[in-house]
Amino acid sequence: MIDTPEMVFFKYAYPCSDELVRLKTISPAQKDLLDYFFDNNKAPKRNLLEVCFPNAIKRLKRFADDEDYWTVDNIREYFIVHHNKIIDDREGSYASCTRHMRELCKVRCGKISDIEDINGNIVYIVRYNQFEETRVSGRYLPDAKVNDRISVHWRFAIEKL
Amino acid sequence: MCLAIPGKIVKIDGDTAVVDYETETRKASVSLIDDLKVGDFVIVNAGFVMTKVPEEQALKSLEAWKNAGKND
Repeated sequence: MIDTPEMVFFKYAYPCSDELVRLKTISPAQKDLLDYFFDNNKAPKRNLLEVCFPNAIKRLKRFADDEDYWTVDNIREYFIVHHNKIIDDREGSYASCTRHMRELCKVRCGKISDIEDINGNIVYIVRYNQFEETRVSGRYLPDAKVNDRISVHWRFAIEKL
Repeated sequence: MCLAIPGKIVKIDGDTAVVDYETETRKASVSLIDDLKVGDFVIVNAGFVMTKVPEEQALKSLEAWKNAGKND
């Protein structure tokens, strides 16, 4: 599968979509549309992504080197490099987040040390560092292997690095 | 983005928990978190329990959400 800018953005942003419905940032109909694209392994068009994830888009623009903020490099850099600092700085809605929520929202990178199949749910055991290991859903990235380095958002494996 | 409302586990059956949000209940897999029990406050996303939240924090969050709703 070719990683288009839309697909890379969508993979990182989609795990937040449940909460965007609750926050009324997006409508249930828009959520259904996002679910359809995700379940069919397709990326929505940019205009839908811009409407559904306005805060992330605003930040993508801020960190872009030039006017074209829709590049794979810029999107990965935003989610992997800048996203966590924005959370730690408690920018925007993160100001009212609890510590638990802030940690959950961060994008982490780690290495898969084991894989479990729990009633059909693939669960990766991911080691972030010498002291930290966590359980991560493989629902969105089912084909990773032990020793693969992956990125994680909201306890979901997002992509191999 | 990335905010969430805590819910309370009212039942666990195998790999599945039933989580109460006062206005609705949702089912969620507990395969990512160890040692969950009925009465725990949790954050659920996309069908999975993501994290356990200390009761004090959960009650504060719920209060904040209720107040936010009053200002809509």
